[in-house]
Amino acid sequence: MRLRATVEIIFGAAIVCSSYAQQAGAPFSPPAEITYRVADIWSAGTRMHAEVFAPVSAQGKLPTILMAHGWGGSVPALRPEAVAFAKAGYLVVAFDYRGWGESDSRVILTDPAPAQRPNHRFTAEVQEVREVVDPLDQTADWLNALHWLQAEPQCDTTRIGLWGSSFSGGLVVYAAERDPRVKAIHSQVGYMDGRTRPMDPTPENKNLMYEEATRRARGELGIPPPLAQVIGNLRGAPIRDRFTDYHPVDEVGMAPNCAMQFVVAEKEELFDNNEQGIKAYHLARGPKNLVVIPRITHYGIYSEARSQAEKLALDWFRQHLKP
Amino acid sequence: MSYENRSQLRMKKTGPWDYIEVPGITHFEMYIGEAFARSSNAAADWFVKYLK
Repeated sequence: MRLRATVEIIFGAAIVCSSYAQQAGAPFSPPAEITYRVADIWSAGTRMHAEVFAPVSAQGKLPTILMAHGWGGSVPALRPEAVAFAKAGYLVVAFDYRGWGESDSRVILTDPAPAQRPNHRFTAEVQEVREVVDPLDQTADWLNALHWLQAEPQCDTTRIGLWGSSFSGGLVVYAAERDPRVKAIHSQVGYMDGRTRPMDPTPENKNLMYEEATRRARGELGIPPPLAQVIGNLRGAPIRDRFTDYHPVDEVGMAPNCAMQFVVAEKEELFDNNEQGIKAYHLARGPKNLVVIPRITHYGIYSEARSQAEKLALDWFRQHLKP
Repeated sequence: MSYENRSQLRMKKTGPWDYIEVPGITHFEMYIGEAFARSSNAAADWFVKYLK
């Protein structure tokens, strides 16, 4: 019954997601006071789409906020916050993970490689890995975006913050634990333990994870099709076995110099806050803040509490990234 | 490894564990001669103990 209830709630919440997805094809006109450009970030040889926002009046290096979407999103849904942060004086970079939005996809061979490969090159048919959810691959994308930032002329590399929401609210924690150049994070309604619901609420699901992993390792199970709906109506199937290796909440202490702000929804319905944001807050060793937004559910962070969450992020980044 | 570090390691490990230091050898000398025999036998003994 618990799983069924969770899935039904996710179904309702996914409707909100779809409205964000609809923004993907819309042309974007930045406000006059913002500079805007599209850029390419390379992650393990694959091009990721990024959008760069900065105040027109900016001179010299700027504190920088790196952003990426959660489960099933894309950059257009992040533009309102990106513009607000840029207006507040930040360089802002928002990117699509490999296989999502306007990014290219990782590819896999559909047949064995030929025996003859002169200069390690050959022609082959490939299948793209598109719109699946793999937290470890997506963490690599965050880390590569951080590497990209180091050579961005306007970026003050000593003042980099990460913004993440929902699924990316856990990914920013994972990235900060692995890259000491991250000085602050804002994680809202973050999912930080792939062993907990909605991914793994039952022993049956844990068995399913191992079965899928074994079949995939033996070449009997391929990558899920794009946008497959496996978890409720969320867009994009999870690579289940990669979730058991993903529990940034347990490793928060690895980033003692990163200022961490966790914003959780009081009526969170997708997972237990005590296993996610609240636990991370208690384990964090550096400057930290926990905000419980009363009366909202998970997706309330994108509707009735969106402006409040944006202000919380701005306040946190001002405290920890501004000179 | 110092006594203090060994003690810290012992405290961190919650499952069965063992620690063997082969004296006087460098990294790749573990693959030859007496050191190789010692490390290989240690591995075999460990697996016999926990996998048989």
